[in-house]
Formats: sequence, structure tokens, C-alpha cells
Amino acid sequence: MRKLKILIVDDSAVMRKIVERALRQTGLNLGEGLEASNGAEALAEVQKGSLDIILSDINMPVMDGLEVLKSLPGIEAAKGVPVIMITTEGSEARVVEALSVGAKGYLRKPFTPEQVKERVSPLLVGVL
Amino acid sequence: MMAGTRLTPFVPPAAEPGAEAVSQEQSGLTAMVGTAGALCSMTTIRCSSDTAIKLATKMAGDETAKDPNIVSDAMGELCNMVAGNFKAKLTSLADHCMLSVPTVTSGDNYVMQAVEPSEVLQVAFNFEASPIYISPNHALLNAAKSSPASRSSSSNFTH
Repeated sequence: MRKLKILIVDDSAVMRKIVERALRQTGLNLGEGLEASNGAEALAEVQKGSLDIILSDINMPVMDGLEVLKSLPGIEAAKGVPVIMITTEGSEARVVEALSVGAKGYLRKPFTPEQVKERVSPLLVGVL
Repeated sequence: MMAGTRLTPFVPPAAEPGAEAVSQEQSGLTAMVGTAGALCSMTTIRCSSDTAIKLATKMAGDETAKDPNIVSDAMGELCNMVAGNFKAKLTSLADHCMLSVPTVTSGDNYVMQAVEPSEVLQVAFNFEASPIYISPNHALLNAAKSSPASRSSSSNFTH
């Protein structure tokens, strides 16, 4: 079974570690964790191709998560790659906007590994 | 949850008879996240440097938590989550205010003081026998007097 290629996008290094640890606790067969600390870095990783899923914070410097979502349709390598947004804020408007521009789901911090699994696993059915 | 621990209320040890009053000066780390918009306020989390390192270790793992940048990052993220979830509970405000990026101050003998007069609610929690002080909203009560939206949220807050 091939290993999953997951991109974690968050300006906090601690949060990137927490997300990766939560993913590994779900039992998913993860490969090397790919990371980006803002939207611009994320798009550079996406261009390299072969990602299975992206988990991205919404609020980030340089380029936020919503801008990433809006940019993905223009990138051939991003086609079919699901994106889950991670947010701290309670703003329904931001979540609704994220879902309307292509996010497949969202996680609200703080989250448990079980919640990560609930969101991520259904999006990887065809991959696993 | 992110630190894999459950906090309980912190009960300070009883003062000795005749002991001097506790100084308002602080040491350690204070993480701050501002709220702007319908509610203007500041959420803070304060603890000792040792406690901050323990928290960061729980969040990020042993290999990184002695890095001061990681410790500040962890404290900032915790404060961000407290502020974000506080805002989320104020349904009338959730879509009408934004959070700032976290800021972390560290050092000895510093005092946090709001320029505008404000009432500060501070809650102390016990984390591995050390206190963590969380102030969910430095200026909430002050803001509640000036904004209809804040008035309703203030009511939610007290319940």
C-alpha cells in the first residue's frame, strides 16, 4: 500500500506538529509530512504534484487559506485534491466562504485525533 | 485538549498571617490575542517560563520545546484558541469581530495594563501544580457599555 502524501499548512510550527501527530494517530498510512507556513509556500508544494489531501489553516500571513482555495482551480496538479480548512475563529461566514470556494470540510481548533479521522478518512476512500 | 491535559481550578495557598500583599508585577510569559470589531478586547494567558516549556512540550513534543520560539508559538496558539472559542460562543459577535495574530511577551517584573479603563476577569487553572492565568476578555465589561451587540454577548458571558 502506498503512503499518503499530505500537506499541512499553518503559520504555527506547533500546530503543524499537532496536526501531523493527530493524523498519525488515526492509523492512516502517512508518508513524510509536507509542511508550509503560509499560502504561498503551500501553492509551491501543490505545484510539485501528487498530493492526496491538504489541511490548511485559514488565518495566515502572506497568503491566507481562503486565497489558497481560490488559487487551486488554476493549478493542474491540484485537480481532485481535497482540502480541509482548520480554523480557530467562530466565524460561520468564513467557514461558509471556504466551503463555497471548494473546501471539503473544516476542523475547529482545538480538535481531537478522532475528529481529524472523521473529516479526513471519507475523503481518502478512493486513495486507500 | 491540544496539550493533552485537563485543567482544574487553581487554589492559591493560604497567605501566612502578616504576609505582604502579592505584587502585581509578573514574570514568565504572557500570550495575547486582540479582538477588534464589534468587540474590542484582549485575551491573555500568563504562566511561568517553566510552565510554558511544559505546555509546549506537551503540544510539540520533547525535541522542540526547549526552543524559545517554539514555546512562544505554543503559548500564542493556546491563546488564539481561547480567544477564538470565546468569540465563537458569543453568537452575535462571531461574524463581526476579528482576531489579531498572537503576541507573546516574556521577562521579569513587567506589568500588563490597559490604556482604557477596563475590568479584568482572570481565571487561574492548575497545570501540574503550577498556575496558568487566563483572562478571556480584558475589556469586555467596558465594551459592553458602549455597543448593543456587546451588551447581548455580555449577557451570554455571565451565564
